[in-house]
Amino acid sequence: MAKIIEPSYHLPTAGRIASALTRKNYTEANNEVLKLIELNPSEENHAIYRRTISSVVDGYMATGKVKAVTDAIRGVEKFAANSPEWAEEVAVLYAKIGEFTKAKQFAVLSTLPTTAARVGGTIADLLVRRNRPEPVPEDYRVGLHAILNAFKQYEAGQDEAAKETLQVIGLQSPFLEWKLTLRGLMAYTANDDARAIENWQRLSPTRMPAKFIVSLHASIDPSQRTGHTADDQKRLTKASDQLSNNPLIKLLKELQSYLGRETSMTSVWRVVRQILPMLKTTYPDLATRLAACMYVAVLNHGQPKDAQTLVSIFGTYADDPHMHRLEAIACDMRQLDDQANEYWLMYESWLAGQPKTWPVDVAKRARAMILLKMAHRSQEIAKGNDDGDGFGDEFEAMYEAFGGPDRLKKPKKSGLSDKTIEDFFARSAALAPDWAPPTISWVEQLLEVENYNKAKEVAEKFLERHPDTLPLLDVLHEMHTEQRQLAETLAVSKRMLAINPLDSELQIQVGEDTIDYARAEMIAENYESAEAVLGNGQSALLSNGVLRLYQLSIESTIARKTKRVALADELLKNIADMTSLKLLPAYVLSVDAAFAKLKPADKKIADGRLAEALDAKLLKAMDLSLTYGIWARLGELKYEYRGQKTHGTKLLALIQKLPITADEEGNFEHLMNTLYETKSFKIARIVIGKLRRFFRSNPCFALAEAKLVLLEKMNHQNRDKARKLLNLAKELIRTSTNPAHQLLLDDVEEGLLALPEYSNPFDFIFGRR
Amino acid sequence: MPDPYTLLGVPLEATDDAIRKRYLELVKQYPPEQQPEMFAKIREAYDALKDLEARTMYRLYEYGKNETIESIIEEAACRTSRRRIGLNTLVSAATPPR
Repeated sequence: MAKIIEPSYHLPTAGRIASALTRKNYTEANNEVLKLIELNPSEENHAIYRRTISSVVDGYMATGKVKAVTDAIRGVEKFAANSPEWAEEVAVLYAKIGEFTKAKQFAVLSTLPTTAARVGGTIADLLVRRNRPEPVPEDYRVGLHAILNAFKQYEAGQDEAAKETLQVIGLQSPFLEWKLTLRGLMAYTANDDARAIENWQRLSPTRMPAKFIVSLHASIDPSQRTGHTADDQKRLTKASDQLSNNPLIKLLKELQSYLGRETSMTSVWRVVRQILPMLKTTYPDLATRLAACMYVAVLNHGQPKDAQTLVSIFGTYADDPHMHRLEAIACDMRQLDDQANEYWLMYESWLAGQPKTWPVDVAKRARAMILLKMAHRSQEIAKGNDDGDGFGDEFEAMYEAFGGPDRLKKPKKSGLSDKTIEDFFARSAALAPDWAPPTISWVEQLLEVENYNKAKEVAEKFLERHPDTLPLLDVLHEMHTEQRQLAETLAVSKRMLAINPLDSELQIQVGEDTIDYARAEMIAENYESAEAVLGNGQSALLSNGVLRLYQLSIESTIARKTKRVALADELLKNIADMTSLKLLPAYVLSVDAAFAKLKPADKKIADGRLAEALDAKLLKAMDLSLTYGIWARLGELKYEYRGQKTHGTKLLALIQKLPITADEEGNFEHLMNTLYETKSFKIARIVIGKLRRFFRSNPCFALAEAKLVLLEKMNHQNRDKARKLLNLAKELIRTSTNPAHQLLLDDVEEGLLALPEYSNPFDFIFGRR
Repeated sequence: MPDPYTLLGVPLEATDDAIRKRYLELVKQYPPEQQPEMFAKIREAYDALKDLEARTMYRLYEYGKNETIESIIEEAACRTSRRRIGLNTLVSAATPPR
């Protein structure tokens, strides 16, 4: 007959039962599971019942409800006769409440292989937890006695005796888990974490010892912490601290938690004041280390008053007794340049007094570094002042409209005179006469203020002792180039090449300087000198076809000028043999003829050839690129000749009309580079679109277009366009098989970094920046 | 990074040569192929002290910064003898079984 079920507001489910257990409402959980089993006594629901009754019994025991415990167990006894699973569960439940005889009776009814271990383990756990010798079943006496004795011996510091006592517990003993727990504890006390972990890792998670030791285990074994939620981890740490009960560690951990919060340091100082006396008496070296640690904490989170507190607690910090360095670094971090400079200078003065804890050479170099830093920063401040107020045009009107409230005013920076900046560099260089950076920067500063003689003097003085200082030679080279001191320029580039004779870029540099000097001598009609210059630079000129072409052009021009017509014709023939390039040789020849002011008859050949080349319909990108490059360079070097402007216009017109062919991809890369380097942005903008569409998978053109966009006014639209192009270039570099393209990645990353984020101008007003 | 002077075992006034000599001794003691982690620490310490410029940069900007509260706790925990946790304490104070 079907059972009549009382109407109910809800049907019992496993979820409702679990919810009741979570809320520790054991009676509700018990009632729900009973209803569930009455409704559907399936094997699955019986398994739920077994898990629930175990938790319900634990809950009742924890709250001291003895009668409820026995009622709950008696309620399930009836299932034991026909189910080995229930027989085992009832046996375990009786073992839990200490009714060992009944536990054994029900255990006998089970045929499961797990029953003996589960029931035995539960009895053993309860006996150890009770920690008293009676009443104990006969077969558990030896094991329990050993565990309790071993614990006492361990507590008394007799670890060896405890280990001996534990020998009686074998691998099959229900007390094995307690043996492992205690052996782990002994290792833990001896700071042998590896051994402790080794023992505790063998514990069964369902047995009591693993649950008792879990917090301590987690405190030394990171793998034990990973599976827990943040809250559980905190709970475990707290439990472990409570167990280990070390006041010093407890306070240090409290300090650690305060330092992790970026708030006021008041609580930090309170804890530090408690820790410090303990450390000073037990571990004075740790007190010193704590001082260093707090110094950094003040630097990162502190306010000015915290520096004073630091000194009042720890006394003066040997490395920074007046806290000038701390203040200086703090100002550096907050970009308070003027104040940072002041504090650094005060620190430098302190270092000048030769502090005992600083090795002499380190202190001296530190002073040089500080002064160099001061000089560089002063340069930046001066530059910033020259650049205006740092507010863009769009903010100017707003600034006016708001009547210039204080928070909109530009931060006033004092700036220092060029003389002071030079003085910093000079002092830095004097303190570290064999360290190149201050001298290099000093020379650059002297060039900035156009004190060329002094710059040369300072540089040469350093080079006397360190002739191999390439960066300094490079600065000198730049100075002579700007001054159009071509003989000196060539001499310096030769010095650089002598240091690194295999450097191909330096070889080309020497070649270019040779040509520049020789051409200047040719224009000045110092023909012998020009020929001598070319003769001396022969090895560099021979290394590069284009340089060789320049040389031949100058030589043939001189030969015509000095009536050595036969030689000139021979040289011209050589130039004509350069079959891959048509325009470049003709252009160079024609220009040199113009520079040398050859008679019309002598210029005829050169001019004719150029006219022919400029009309050519089959010009190649490389030819045009090189020709336009030399045209731009001559202008840069302030060379002038008749027809110069016309040539430039014609060349740019040819570039625009140049047909794009797939076999010239590399040459168009070269051309684009030339246009960018010669700042011919207008033409570059005209051709770049066509090139990018033709060579779709080439990252060079996407990057070139992005660079051109970056040069435009940076509005919202352009910023997005540049970002898209840079990302496209990045993707194309990734897929490109050309190794040279991989080198472009730095440029792309730099471009992405340079992209300004969109800034809301109102953030200035409301102080959100 | 642990204090490089302590790690290499050289005094503050050690010269380039003395530091290099000590570095090579330690590399022999802790070859990279056998003890890569220790070698990496030694290498990092050497890089911080290998010449006057590196030493000065370290002294000016990094000296003392390697001290963290975590390293002090770790050191204090190592030095402090751990309390012997008795059975009653373990049973009553530890996380109760769930």
